[in-house]
Amino acid sequence: MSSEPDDFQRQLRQTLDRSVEQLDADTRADLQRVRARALAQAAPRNRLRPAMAVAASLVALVLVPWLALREPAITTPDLALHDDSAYLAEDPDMLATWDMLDAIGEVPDA
Amino acid sequence: MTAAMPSAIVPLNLDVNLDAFLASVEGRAYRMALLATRERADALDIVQDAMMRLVQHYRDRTSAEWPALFQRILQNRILDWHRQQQRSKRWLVWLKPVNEDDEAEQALEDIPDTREHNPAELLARAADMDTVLRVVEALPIRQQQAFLLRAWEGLDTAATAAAMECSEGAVKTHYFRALQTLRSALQAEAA
Repeated sequence: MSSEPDDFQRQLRQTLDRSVEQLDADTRADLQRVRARALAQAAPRNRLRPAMAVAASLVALVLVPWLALREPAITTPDLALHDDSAYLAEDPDMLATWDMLDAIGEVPDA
Repeated sequence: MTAAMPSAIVPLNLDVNLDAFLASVEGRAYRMALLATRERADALDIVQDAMMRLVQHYRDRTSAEWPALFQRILQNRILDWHRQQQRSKRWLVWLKPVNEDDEAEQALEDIPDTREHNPAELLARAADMDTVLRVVEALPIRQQQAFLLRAWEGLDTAATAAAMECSEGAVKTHYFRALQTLRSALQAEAA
């Protein structure tokens, strides 16, 4: 069997390899720039990721205890406000004021 | 010092590995793109685009996967460029559409056998860089891709088919025809 096809392909391969080895300096510099640009594109995403994780942890560290300890904004409505007698019964000062107004005949209409 | 690396350094190492990989393939990628486009700026654009896509989408894959992925992206990009050129030409001169894979349908028996030529002369022509580059450049795009991936990159038929996104049968036909065309062209140059 002849090895001519193999020799032919090997020779072509070597010739093509040589064509890459002999690329001029300008082209090599351009390729280096192209490579750096491609890698730089991925770098910010890559390097910001740990920083963003740390920032998120710090925010959580502050927010979670604050949310847990803070007083509830909406309290249970005091139904006693709608019931004069009960309200006055709970406030001796107000009761005293009421008695005084009653004495001078100035009790407001219900 | 061979102390264990902290995990925070791993992404940087990945970049170093990726940089080394891209540095190892950039020259050949550029030559392939240049053979396909014959335009320095277009070839550089294609290589840059292929590198960016690899970095963007596949940087987290294992380094063993990068060569096949990069070739697939590069060949796709080259074919896109070629199709774009064909479309522009068609708009300008109203040419009939040509399917790159049609040539693969031609029966292998139709291709002339040139093995009766002088092998020494053929090898001498195959060693002439300018001649080889000119002849490879003149190959139809799919033959050129099949030839470069099989003969130069050393990919097998299946890997070449994956990179070219076509069937293994089409790769065999393109490759066979490319070798025959190259042989004929180099013999003609020698005559």
